[in-house]
Amino acid sequence: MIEAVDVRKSFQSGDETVEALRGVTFRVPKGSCTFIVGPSGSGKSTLLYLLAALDQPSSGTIRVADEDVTSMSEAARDAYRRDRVGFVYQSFNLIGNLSAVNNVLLPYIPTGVTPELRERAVDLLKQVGLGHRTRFRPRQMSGGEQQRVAVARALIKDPLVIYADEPTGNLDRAGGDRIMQLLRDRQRARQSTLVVVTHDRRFITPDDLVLEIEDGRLKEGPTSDFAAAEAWEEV
Amino acid sequence: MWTFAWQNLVTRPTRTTLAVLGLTIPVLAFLGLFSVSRGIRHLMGDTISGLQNLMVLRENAPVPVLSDLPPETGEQLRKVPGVRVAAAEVWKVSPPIDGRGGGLGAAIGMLTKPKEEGFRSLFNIIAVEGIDIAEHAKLTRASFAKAILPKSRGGGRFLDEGDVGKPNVAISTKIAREYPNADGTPKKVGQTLRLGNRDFQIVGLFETGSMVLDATIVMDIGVSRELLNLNPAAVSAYTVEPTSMAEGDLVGERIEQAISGVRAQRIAQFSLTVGSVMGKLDMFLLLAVALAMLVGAVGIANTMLMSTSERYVEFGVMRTNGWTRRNVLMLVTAESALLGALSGLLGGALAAAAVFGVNRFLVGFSLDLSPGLLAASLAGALSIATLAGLYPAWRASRMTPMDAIRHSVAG
Repeated sequence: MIEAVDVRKSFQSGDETVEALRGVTFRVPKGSCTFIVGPSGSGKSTLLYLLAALDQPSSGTIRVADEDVTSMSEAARDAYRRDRVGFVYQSFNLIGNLSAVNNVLLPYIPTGVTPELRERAVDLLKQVGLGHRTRFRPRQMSGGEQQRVAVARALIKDPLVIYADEPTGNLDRAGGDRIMQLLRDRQRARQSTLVVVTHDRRFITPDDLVLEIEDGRLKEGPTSDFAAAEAWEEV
Repeated sequence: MWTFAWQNLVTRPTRTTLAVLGLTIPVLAFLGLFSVSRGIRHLMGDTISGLQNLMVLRENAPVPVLSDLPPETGEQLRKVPGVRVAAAEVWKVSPPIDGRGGGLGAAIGMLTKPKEEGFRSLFNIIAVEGIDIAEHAKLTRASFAKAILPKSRGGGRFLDEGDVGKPNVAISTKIAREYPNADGTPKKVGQTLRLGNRDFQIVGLFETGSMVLDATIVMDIGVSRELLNLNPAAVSAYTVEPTSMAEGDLVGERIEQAISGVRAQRIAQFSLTVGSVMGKLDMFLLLAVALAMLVGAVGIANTMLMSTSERYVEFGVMRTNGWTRRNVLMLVTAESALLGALSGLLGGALAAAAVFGVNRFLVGFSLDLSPGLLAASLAGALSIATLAGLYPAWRASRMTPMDAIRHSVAG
């Protein structure tokens, strides 16, 4: 489903070249729940952005459902992000001027929002427990509620892959648990693939794949070896 | 998309209002100045269409009230080939009417009366025109005689040979209203009008539609000389009717060649001159308004730049959710276009209200705000705002999903 081969990413910081990823190779099977873990600055978020086609690697290839996202044109990447990827930020990133339902419909505003889409957005908000908040603006909602709207926004496209970057990072424990449960439920219900960057290992279950990154590389060790081996076997 | 763009504007009311006002003011200036310009054009057009014959004045005299011609000019004119009629006229500023106003009174009033009333005085300078009744009766294109109201409206008649030497006048309905009876009703045919120290009987009421002609009291030339204490042979100007109007220009040239010290004012030439002057005035107005529009456009560009700079994260989030650069460009351009449309509509509404209000105080002259002018101002505001928003829109469209993340983290 997701195949990354020798993915590298470097940044220029002043005169210094920072290597955020130093050749990462792995596979993630379709319908799995994968956690990318590691210390701050290890490159886990950078990897997630590359997988979601938000950024381009310096070298290496990433294939998602047999499509090479690293060699796509900009228009193709736009379409890929619009139709096949759901992305959840740590800081929610809702549009302040839009109501909850219109935030969920954000991907479809340029092409036109049909009544069916609106009905679907309302239904999704009901599913995440916000049926009574459809017309609320982000500032009228709690952090947990905003993140649930962000999850609904990621799900409206019925994506192949849901990417979540520290989705519980700005929430309290209960709020974080609820969001993770929501993401897992949706992933199971739709048989989509979920890739989550997190610091919080309490969300990881034995059935999950774990990609542990340290200093820009997949860490050698029992957990990551187990996960990687599982991943390779399943593919 | 448009709904989203509109929401982005209304959720920042102060900034949106200031940007709209910045472009509304030039729109208002454009409409105000051009409605005055068009009003003047119409006024001059009405006047010119009312003066179909040639007018012979002293050379360098800009208007008949400042002209005087020697007594022999009439005979000289009649000898010029192509001249059918040469009718003598005396033109002077009227003495006080019914003890007030008149020419000098109106000029003083403009300076001394309260602003609003003084402004009206500008259009209230009344002239006396003394005409050679016998000669004027020969004119086939006489302005006043044709403008007498029908009897059903109490128009009376124009001066005829029976009025020679008599204190009888034809006045406009405007003067009849401006100098009413004691009970406030407009003067009627058969009533008297006091000019200076002398009573005149009104025999006719006319309405030419021209501010200049409707500010004229017409009487016998001999009576006017007595009233104005002029030489018994004094003549200000001659109305000359050519045998053929097609030869008007040619006859005018012949008159100027045959008689030294006179100017034959050809209407066509006068019309062209007015058109040329108004064209230059319009160009000047356009330049002034363009400058103001440029300032308004800079205001819109500044507002949109500020707005987009604050929304980098939003644009990045949109890109993350599949918005193309073109989509972002369209959104910001739609916002600036809406600012332009709001400015155009607000400016148009304010201008229409102002013109309506001002026209209620003006007499014989009105500002002309046509639908075409309103449409042009709306289209102009829309275009300028859209153009001014292109650079901010282009900048916003350059945002990538990663910019959203970086700004989000930085924020």
